[in-house]
Amino acid sequence: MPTYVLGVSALYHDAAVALVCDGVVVAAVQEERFSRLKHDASLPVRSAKWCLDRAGITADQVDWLVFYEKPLRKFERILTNAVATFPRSSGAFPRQMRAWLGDKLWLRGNLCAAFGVRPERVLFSEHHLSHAASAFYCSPHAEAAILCLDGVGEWATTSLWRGRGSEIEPVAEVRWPHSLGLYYSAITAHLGFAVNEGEFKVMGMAAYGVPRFRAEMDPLLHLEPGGGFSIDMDKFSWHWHASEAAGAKLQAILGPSRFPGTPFTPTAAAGEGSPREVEECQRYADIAATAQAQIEEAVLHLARHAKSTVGGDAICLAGGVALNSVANHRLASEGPFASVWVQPAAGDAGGALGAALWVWHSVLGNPRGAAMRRADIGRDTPIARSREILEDLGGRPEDVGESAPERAAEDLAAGRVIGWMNGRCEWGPRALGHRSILADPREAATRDLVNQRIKYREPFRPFAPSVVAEAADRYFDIPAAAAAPVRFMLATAVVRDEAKAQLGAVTHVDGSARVQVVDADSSPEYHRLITRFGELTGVPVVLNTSFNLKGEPVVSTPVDAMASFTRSGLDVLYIDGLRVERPK
Amino acid sequence: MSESSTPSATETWLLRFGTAGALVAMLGRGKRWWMVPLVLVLLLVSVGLLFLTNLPYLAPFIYMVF
Repeated sequence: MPTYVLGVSALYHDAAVALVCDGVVVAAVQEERFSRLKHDASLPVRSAKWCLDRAGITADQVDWLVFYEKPLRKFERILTNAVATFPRSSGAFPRQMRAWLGDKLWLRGNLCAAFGVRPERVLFSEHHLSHAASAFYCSPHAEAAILCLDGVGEWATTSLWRGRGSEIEPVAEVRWPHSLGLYYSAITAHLGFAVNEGEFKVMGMAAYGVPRFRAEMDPLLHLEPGGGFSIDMDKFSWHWHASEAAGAKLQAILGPSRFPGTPFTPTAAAGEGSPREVEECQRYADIAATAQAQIEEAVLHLARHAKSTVGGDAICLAGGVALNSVANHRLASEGPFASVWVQPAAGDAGGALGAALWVWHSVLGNPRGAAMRRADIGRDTPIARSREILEDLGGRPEDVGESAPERAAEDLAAGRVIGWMNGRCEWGPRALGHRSILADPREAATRDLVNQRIKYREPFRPFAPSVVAEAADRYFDIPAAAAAPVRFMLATAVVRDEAKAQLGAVTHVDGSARVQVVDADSSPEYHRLITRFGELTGVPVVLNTSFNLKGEPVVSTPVDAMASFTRSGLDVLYIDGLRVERPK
Repeated sequence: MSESSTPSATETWLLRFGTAGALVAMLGRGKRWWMVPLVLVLLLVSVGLLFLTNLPYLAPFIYMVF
């Protein structure tokens, strides 16, 4: 009888489910792909049902349901913190208690009721242990240092682990309230972006600035000689305030915070626009650049400590900070490890997968399996059903069958922007050629076109390139240690000088690109598409951005894809072997 | 998802008592006895509110308060 373990993460952000059968990941998907609510945190009942249906089992056949963190320990931290920061916490405390006493505290019963699993089959992992497991057990390394960097779990905000075979053991941790993730989020809020959403925008904005606020910001984030770090908590309020991570004290240091939605245009940052606009944009860009440099140096600092205490040649990263692809690039190029591994869903969603693998390997004592090589382990739709949906929605699909990648390449070479939906959804926030918007990467004007006509997002944000593995070195300077992260678009690379003129739409202002390297084994259709585009244009690279519109989750079903297609300026839509052209 | 495994109302209450007990035990293991009165008060308030919100005549006032 196979053993099924259902991992669940929920109730903070990015709720997700991962189903593991005898150590093999059957399916993993985020609830937002069903509810269409970005970062949906609710108990992922629909995701679980889909995963069980995919495996052909019912909830009765689930051997273990494991939640990715320990709610009681988290509750203890919230109570302790409320007492320690009283009376400042008195505003946040009633709201926290309402959420916890009404719902979160009684999680075992709620999980049983929601998922139909007996109480004795419910386990609880730890937040950072789930992160560590998600990185290490999915990696190809028999031994590795594991570094988890996020906002906060139960108590830990940063943790170092030693992974060996099927075992993971704790080495060191930094505890609440000192948190790299929350520090970056506080700066994100100061720059006028939404927390847990705008961190990627800060990373993109940083390229327009120079880190000239080191004198002001270095005292806020202090790297300790012993390998850890500390935050000047007097300047921040995330440990006691209900909604603000920082307040007047940070503004006294960095100047007024940016009002959400205020234009930040690259032209203004480059010196055009009114003098006041230029000055303001540049100040925000410089704050972003300083915070980004601090995070990169903190990651390097922690990695050096990991090398000195755990040793080995490989490091596995997890936690939301591990999605910082610029920091990952610096770790790979300047860090002490020969190999860096980041699991595609490094944030809290990945905790569901980590918790399930922890039960299989550590609790049940089973040996390691194959490393994760592909991220398309999410939801899909049978092609017959896709055809029905497209016809019902008036799409008049053309059946192009197996030639879809080649036809799509021809569309791209003709200057069309396409929606490309192929097979199963990606696991994690990155679109990796299964739910992607694709375009010709050669002209910078394409970037503006995709931004203004399709994605409706801020013009300063860069787009990523996908390149076939065979040509990656010709266009990008990728550190050897980043060979794994670039498969999942989790590390930036430097665009080679001679290639910049050919990659105008995907080269960021600082000459970098968040590249995805595509090989024929793990993404055969996508590899064919890019290869054919290369034959037609001489450049085996495509612009790849997630298939969603601003503020929405990545599309999941043909209905979602058609909804985005009809509301945007996409020219052509591909769903597996079906092609839909926008009526002229 | 599966109706047969869904706990009954009695089981749900027992699970809640179990959770409360586990919480107090955890505080004891961590030598945080000073938090036990706070936790007990919070638990009593939450149990009281649960009962009160189930009384049709009182529930509207409870929702107004919160």
